[in-house]
Amino acid sequence: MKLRDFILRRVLLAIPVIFGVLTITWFLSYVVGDPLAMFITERTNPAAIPGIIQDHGFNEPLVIQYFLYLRTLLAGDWGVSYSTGGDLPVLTVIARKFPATIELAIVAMVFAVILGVPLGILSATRKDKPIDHFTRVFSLAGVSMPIFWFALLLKYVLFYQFSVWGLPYLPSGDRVDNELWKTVLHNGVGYDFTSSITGFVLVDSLLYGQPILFGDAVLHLIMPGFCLGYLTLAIITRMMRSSMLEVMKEDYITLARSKGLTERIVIYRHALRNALIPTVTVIGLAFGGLMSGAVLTETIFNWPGLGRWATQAILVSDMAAINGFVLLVAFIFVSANLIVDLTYGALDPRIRYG
Amino acid sequence: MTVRGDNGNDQGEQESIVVPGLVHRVFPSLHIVLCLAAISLGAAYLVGNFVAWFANSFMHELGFQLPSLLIGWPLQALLLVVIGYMNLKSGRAISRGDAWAYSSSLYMNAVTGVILLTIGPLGLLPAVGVFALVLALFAPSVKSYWYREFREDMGPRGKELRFSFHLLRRSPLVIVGILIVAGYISVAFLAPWITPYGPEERIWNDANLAPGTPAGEAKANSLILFSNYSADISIYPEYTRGEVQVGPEEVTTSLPPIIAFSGYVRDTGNDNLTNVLVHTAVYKLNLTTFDSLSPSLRELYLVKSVEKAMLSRPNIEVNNSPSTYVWVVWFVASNKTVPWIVDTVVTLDYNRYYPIHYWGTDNSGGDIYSRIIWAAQVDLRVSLSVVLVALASGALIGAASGYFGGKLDEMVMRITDIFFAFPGLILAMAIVMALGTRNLENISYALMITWWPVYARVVRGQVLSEREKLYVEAARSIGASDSRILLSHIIPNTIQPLIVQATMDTGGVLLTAAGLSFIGFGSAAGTAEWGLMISQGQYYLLNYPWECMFPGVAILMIALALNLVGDGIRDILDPKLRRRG
Amino acid sequence: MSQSQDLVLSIKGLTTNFYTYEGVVKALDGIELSLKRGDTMGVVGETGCGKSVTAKCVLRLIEPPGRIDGGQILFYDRDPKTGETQETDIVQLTPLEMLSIRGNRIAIVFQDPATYPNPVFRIGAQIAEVVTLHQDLGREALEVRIKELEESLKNSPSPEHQAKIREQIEHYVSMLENPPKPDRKYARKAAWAKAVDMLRLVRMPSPDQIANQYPHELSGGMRQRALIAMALACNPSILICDEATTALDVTVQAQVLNLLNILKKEIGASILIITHDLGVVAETCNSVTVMYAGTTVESAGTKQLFENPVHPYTIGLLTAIPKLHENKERLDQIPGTVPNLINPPTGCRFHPRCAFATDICVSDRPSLEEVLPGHYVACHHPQGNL
Ligand SMILES: Nc1ncnc2c1ncn2[C@@H]1O[C@H](COP(=O)(O)OP(=O)(O)OP(=O)(O)O)[C@@H](O)[C@H]1O
Ligand code: SF4
Ligand SMILES: [Mg+2]
Repeated sequence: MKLRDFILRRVLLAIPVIFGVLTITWFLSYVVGDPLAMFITERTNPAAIPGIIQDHGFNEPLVIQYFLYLRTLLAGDWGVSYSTGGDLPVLTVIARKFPATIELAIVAMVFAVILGVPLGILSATRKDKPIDHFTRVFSLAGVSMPIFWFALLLKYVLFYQFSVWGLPYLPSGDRVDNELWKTVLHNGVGYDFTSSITGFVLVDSLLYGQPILFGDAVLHLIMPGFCLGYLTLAIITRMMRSSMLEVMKEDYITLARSKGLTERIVIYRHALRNALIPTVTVIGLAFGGLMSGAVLTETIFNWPGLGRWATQAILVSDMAAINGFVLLVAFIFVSANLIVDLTYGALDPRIRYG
Repeated sequence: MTVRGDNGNDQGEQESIVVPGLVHRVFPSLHIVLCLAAISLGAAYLVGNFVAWFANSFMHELGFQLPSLLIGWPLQALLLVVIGYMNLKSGRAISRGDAWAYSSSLYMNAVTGVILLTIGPLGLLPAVGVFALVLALFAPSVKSYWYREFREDMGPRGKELRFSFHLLRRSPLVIVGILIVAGYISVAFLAPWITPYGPEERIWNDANLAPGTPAGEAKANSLILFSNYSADISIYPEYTRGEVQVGPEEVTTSLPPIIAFSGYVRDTGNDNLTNVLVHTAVYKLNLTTFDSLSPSLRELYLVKSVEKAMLSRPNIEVNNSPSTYVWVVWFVASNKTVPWIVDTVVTLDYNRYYPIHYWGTDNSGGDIYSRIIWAAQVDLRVSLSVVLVALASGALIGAASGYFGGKLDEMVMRITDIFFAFPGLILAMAIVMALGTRNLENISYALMITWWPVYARVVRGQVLSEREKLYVEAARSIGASDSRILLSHIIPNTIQPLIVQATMDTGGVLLTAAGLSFIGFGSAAGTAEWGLMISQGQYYLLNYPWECMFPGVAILMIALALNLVGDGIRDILDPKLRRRG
Repeated sequence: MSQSQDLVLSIKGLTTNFYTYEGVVKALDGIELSLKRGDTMGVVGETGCGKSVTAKCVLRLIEPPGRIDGGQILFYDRDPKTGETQETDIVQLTPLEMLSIRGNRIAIVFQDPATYPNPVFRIGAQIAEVVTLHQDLGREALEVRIKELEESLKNSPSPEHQAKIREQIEHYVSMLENPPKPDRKYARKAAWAKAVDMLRLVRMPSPDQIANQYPHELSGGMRQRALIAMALACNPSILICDEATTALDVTVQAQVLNLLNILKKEIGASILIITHDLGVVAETCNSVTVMYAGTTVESAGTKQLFENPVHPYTIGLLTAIPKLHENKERLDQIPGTVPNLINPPTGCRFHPRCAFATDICVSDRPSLEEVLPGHYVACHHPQGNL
């Protein structure tokens, strides 16, 4: 019974936050910015403009506009983005580009967790040994790294210099090698939203039953994935290290030692579980960092996701796109934190029943 | 009146301390006056900002312009009003003779002074007064009033501080970090003296040079000998002319100096470029002789001719002795409509040398080394101002929220929750987008708005735990006002985590600002700013990698150093790690 | 001290230092202590005199910057089957050898029940962990398996099936004499059953349910009992209670102490009770060791010590409490304060506060002497009736 209550309470707590998020985006786009730009573009039929103004209540008082804003959002009308070529509804663009970004973010997160947690443990258990110093510098560099620059650096070395030296090199950008996909799939378009099944290229290549394509997709993911994940990796490593060090000083570790458990068991069974609790929170917060990072990484690696869309939108002042993007990221972030909260409950019985 | 040492403190508590002197009578009234000044200044800025914003957005056509003196940072103005008000209360308490008010006004005066100093030109004067007040607090007769209490507050902290310094000295990484940060700051300040080129100076002929190449074009110190903007020329064909003197100082240099002339002709009535033939020359000549020549003969003297209205730079080597030079511009226009305007500048270049482009040049011939150093000024200013304003406002909000609790606390926490629902870079992006103009100024505002909740959270948490402790000694501090307890007991105790957070955030803000700049939110192309430099260099990455590598290293180093310092300080201040042998 | 056969723990000249920034904290400086088999000994002394450090030394739980710099901790372990006694010096053991003693032969119950159990594991799991670690659960696992089979026998539908099960049961019963290594699943079940047994042993209400709960769901007293159950799970020779009752309120404290006394008889362990509380000592211990600033100052039978204290510090300690049975900590009645252990006083560490101090007390360290039979004192000028 308690677990259900716990979940319910967390979900309910997220609702006012979402409302706040909506209010802020409304304030930014309607009060400070120019809301008309979100719905009317150069290509809009002039005859339709009065209707659009009427629908969104741009000539009504702000309060009414606010409620109309909420209504239009709920109705799925997030404005028209003109930075994608033709005028496309924002939600359509999001639906097309979302999988690419999420796939990249997940890969980055997997990188970060798989490398970060063990590195953190290693560093904490070998405190002040060479491996600890190395890990600390490595993770400190991660939090201090301008991600866009790191991406360029990786590209320069792993793509350009490697190809100059005649080594096997990684592709410089894009999600897939489109020529390869065209020849393998014989569809003339390669990989895009028309030929994708789930939108996740790793999954799709397997669904097509083509290991070559899967390999191609993996190759394309390595650089952007690592680049995006490095910051998160660094954060997780640091958090893991410090919480591990903290936990190792706790009384229950002394108790565990006094039971005659080996140091391995003390660390991996008693300390790890406790040390993971703050780390999991950080992982949730880091998801927001991934979204910020995606804006920068995708631009550089020519990744056809939301981040690159947003940067293109910025350059041509595509208000609707920016708003949609910001709103979406906030939603993703809130839900990531919700998931983390629930995981937290699973890890720490004190929270669950608290 | 002397201040007693430790032993005296222990034994004779009852001894009365002071006979009120002149300072005591003047001090409170001066204090109150200055606080009132600070409050009204803050209020004026607030109103001014609002009016300016209003005027800009609604009354643009009316041509209304607010004196720029009145426009300052709104957040700082707000802080000024709040702190000024609290300080006013302690000023009144001083005039009642409450000893506690002296020590709390010390903290508050310091804060007020700093805000006044940074707020703008008008803040300078009251700031001097406030700092004078801070000094007056140390006048012997005033000092003894509050000094004992102050020491009681600070005594244990002083010991901890000394221990912290001891630990600091033993952590080499922190020292390295501090040195790097200090290096960056001094380099930023020294930029004019240690860079061969200006921040936006470019030599087109030197584009894309590799690191370590000497400049292809000479670089000279220059002296503007003559400048006349907007001289009207209405007669056709016409020349403008002038006379300049080159003094002995300029001539006695290693290389012969050069006089350069640049002129720019506009047709005020015509937006399109007019076909103008411009002849310019600088030479040693007697003007009267020149005037008496026939036009065709005059033309013989002119060395260079340029089609269309544009810049021309004929260079004339100057003789090895001080003398007078004459310059002449000659125009021939095909279709003249209304009056023309010519902008003319005559400069003297001397001390010419071919500086090495240590870190190469970018695609438009900007010297990367110089630009990186100039950019340090820009980037550090942005990140420091963001962190300072976010810290001050966040700390105040957080402290109030934690201290008063209840509804206020609930509300503040909900608001911070909402802000935390956005990743920093993306909220800042939305804000800049909504503000309309893309420049570093707006990036700063956006980041301030994005960052304050962090500090509100940190301070609130600290205040809550401090408040618990304070209940114990609540009885002791009867009569102390809220602002005093907040400012002289609680805030000093929350300083440590704030310092750590602020240090690390300075790096974080710098990275975010550079990122925003990279994706195109920064100032106009050409500004020396690290993110922008990388953004422009990325297109030349494969052939000229140094164009974005060096600015990146610059960002990485300073962010790394700040993180090292923050990390180190946190370890040093952490009570759990402190006692290790 | 005598090498008599019935000793179970004998600490000789134990010296432990902490190397901190402020200087070397000489936390223990020549501790002497001997615990007889089946005895309950109280260790008393002011806060900071090194009681907990002594306890941790016995289990070798001192961590950097601390280090055991000298002395012996002799542990006379009697094999339960053969009855042979074997002497080991704990200070000399390797960390690996130490593992088989900790929690198994010597167990400890710590002061603060709020922070000691691991918050993320169930109580039962934490107790079962010790059991699986130190005990060969072969027999118990078999018993669990047999019991399960008997259960299924009752519900079994067909006679053939029943016969099969009976056969299996017989097979396992025959193995009971010489049990093989238990398989994992049944070992876990057996350990869990043992944990529940232990909880029952410490008089926990509804032990099955408690075993399934998390530490934060229990009250302080229950948690403390769970910790005691954990410590007793492997029938240790020595149980050290480091202020095990201090954090509890008076009634619960009495219950726990009572429990300890009863359990001592049931299990046959020797108990070392570390406490500030002389009332606790008077009620539960047969002998007492008094510590002062990292040294042993007096050691005797409880009755003897209370009736005839010899060391000036003990006298101060005892006069500080008006009545023996009053539960009050009034140790701060002795004039002066606990010395700084970085620069401890020369000679007798008590001399700055001692009314009987003379020059020799300042220059020479008194050694622990037997002044009366079984009554040891470290003092140049012993008081009381000698
Ligand atoms: N980790 C450590 N670092 C430095 N000094 C320590 C450490 N642990 C203990 N000490 C020192 O050892 C001395 C003895 O500590 P101990 O915990 O044994 O006291 P105690 O007798 O158990 O006191 P209490 O009755 O308060 O529990 C203290 O003076 C303390 O300063
Ligand atoms: S040795 Fe001396 S100082 Fe120490 S307790 Fe005995 S009399 Fe007192
Ligand atoms: Mg203790």
